[in-house]
Amino acid sequence: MPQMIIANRLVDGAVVFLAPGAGWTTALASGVVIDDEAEAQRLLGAVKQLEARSPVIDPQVIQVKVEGGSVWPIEIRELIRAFGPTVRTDRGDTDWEAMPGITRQSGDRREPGVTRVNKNSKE
Amino acid sequence: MYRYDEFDQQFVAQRAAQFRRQVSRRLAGELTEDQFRPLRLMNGLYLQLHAYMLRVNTPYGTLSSRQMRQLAHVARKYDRGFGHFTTRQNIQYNWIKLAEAPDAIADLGEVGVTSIQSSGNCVRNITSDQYAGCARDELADPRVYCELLRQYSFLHPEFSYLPRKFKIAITGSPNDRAAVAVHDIGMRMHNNERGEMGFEVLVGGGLGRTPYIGQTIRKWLAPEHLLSYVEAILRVYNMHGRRDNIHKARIKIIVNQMGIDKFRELVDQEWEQTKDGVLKVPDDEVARIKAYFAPPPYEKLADGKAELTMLRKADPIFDRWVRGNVVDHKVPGYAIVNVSLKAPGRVPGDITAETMDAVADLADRYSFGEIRVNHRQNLVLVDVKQSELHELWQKLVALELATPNLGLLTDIICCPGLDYCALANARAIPIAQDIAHAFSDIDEIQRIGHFTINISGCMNACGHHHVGHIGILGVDKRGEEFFQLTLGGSSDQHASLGDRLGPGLPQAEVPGAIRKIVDTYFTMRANDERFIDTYRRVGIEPFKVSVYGAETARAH
Amino acid sequence: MSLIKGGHLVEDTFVDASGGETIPASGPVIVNLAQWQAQRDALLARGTPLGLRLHSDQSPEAIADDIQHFALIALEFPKFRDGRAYSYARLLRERYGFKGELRAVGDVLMEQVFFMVRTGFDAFDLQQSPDPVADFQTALRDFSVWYQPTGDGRPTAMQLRHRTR
Repeated sequence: MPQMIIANRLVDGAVVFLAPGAGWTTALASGVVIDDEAEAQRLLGAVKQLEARSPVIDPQVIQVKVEGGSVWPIEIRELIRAFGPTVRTDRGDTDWEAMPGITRQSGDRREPGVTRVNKNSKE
Repeated sequence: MYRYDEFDQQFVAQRAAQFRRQVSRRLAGELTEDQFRPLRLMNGLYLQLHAYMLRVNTPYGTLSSRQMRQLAHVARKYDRGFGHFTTRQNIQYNWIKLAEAPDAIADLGEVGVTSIQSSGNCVRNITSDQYAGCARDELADPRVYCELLRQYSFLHPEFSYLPRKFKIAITGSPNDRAAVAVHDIGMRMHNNERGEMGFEVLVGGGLGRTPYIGQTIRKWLAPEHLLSYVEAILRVYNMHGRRDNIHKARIKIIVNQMGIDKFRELVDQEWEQTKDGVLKVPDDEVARIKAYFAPPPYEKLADGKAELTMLRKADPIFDRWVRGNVVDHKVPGYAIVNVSLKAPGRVPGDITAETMDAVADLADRYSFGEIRVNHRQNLVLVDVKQSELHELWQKLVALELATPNLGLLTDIICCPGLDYCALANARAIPIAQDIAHAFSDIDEIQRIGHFTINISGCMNACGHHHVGHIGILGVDKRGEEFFQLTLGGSSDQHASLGDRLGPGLPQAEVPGAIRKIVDTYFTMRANDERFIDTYRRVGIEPFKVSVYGAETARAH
Repeated sequence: MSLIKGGHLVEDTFVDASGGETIPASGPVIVNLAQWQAQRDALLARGTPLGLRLHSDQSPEAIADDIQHFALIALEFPKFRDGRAYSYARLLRERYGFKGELRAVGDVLMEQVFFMVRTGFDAFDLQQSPDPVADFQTALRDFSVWYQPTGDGRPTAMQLRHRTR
């Protein structure tokens, strides 16, 4: 199963993904997808070795899937980390409608652009 | 309200400078995350799913309009223009950058607002009755003693590395609005047989993974012994609390493990050594603090009920709001106004910077410049003239702060949940919004009456689900979000923990389950009794059957 | 060792046998509680300064009556987050009247030094610090105002407000 490495950036807490060339990116789509699980662990170990000098905190390996030419985290927690809260448009750039398996449910929502995400929807 | 003097101001400034140094050391790699984490937690800074979250204290739920405006400033300058009020009289900012946190904290310190010890294994924000000083049913004003304890607990050198967090609440009214029975130390002010005011002290209450109702360790404590007695409890806890397992580290665990009598013995043994020593609370300090809580310059007014009744008859929407959100004040001619942050569709407890400023203006105009925070994530203006209620109400309506649902079904307590919180198993906010949407008819929820729904996204119970009439707990079942319901919890002076209703429900089924519970309540309700009273009378079976059907109910 | 006492880097004159090593025939030595309880008379007979090292789960209540025999008591912080020794320090100083060297050992870091000083420690093994003297001085300057009385007798904010001691 394809994997990526996710973390929080130390200086501002932003969610980042390990990028090609061992940098970090806030854009999920620019993160490096690792097919070999052992390789993912090796990369994780290298990141952790930096300890106090690392630009990130709490790096973890996460499972992703590749669908329609794009990468999506499997777990809802990482979807939310990648795309922001489902209840506000804090990040301004979230297009929840574009997520496979995620549908927008209409309802009487007072806040502009707020969508409700139901991962279990059958639509 | 309390105003910082030169000592308080200096202390806060030094604390802010210390934290600035700690952040610099962390960013320079001189501190590991492990070494830094407790330091930032003791300054209220969490790492959450998307960013750092800063939790700021509103001590015993009190804010001045000036402080509220500074909260708005912090929301605008360092965050994304809003904040979130919690169940412990705090406000949280969700999008803070570590590098900017020292500046935000310094800005708050300028107006006497701190994030000190809002997290960490230390004594947290001391919470109290949001109507303190104003409620008709109040026996004594707890704020003086909250302030004494606040100062005592700030950077206490002996108790900054406790086994776990420590929460204290004090109520001055027999109608407990401060949930003292589910705190590590809870105190109820009352008179002894000689008519002297003092504290009943409860210990070992708490929610979370293993909830407990607090037990009485001492029936009556003289106010002069407040600090020495609390110190004795804290010292016994610091020395004997478990440090081997984070889930067994609260004081409630050792109190229940050894029993309240043995625990009391240990505390009394310790207290014997210190009760008449340097921690005795001097009268002049009590007097000094009491002066800050002197009543504001109330006008001498007649009771305004008659005039109010006429206005209410003329305007049924205004009438509904008065019935729902306005509470009697002990001074004739005045009223307590609850400002709802629960408009349908909103995130419960959230407030924008603009609204914070607007509330500050309303406080200045209508309530002597003071704002309170209650435990259901709403605000309160405690000193409003009855003659000005109608005018204030119209302004609140324009700000969408007038939903008349205080203590009713849509006055939902809701933690941030998986949308924000790294600890959560499930999202809580969408559930709250769905329920509020399903019960948007105000007349219906007023007919249902007092009905509390508390939602937690995980077992840490920040949404206080154990003590909701209905509690909703988010759980992770095979990677999907499920919600477990409990019934019959209560956080007042008849505190009780909710009973599990049955297997977890998927998100889509929760509003319907609430509807079934309400319908069952209506069929069984006797003499207009509250839901909680019906539940206590008939038990859980009828509700189980109603939600799950007879067969499933039998199986579980 | 990076032992700070009186704000300076000092030599540790004590031999530490508290790890179970053989106790030398003479000279200042630090023992653990089990060694003290098993060899009490022999240790007292040595006639040279005696030190005791306590683990974080060993309350000084166990040696309350023997305080006068120790020139040094070392309290362990196995992890800096384990705060039991702060209580032990106050009991030693304020309840049992210990006047000797009260030494913080283990995971002792600059950011906790201020609390240690306030609870009665006067010696600090700052082994993780690259510049122990500088770190110690920095920590000490963090606060000039505090709210709680501890045995160090320095005035609290409350006392300063009302000009009492």
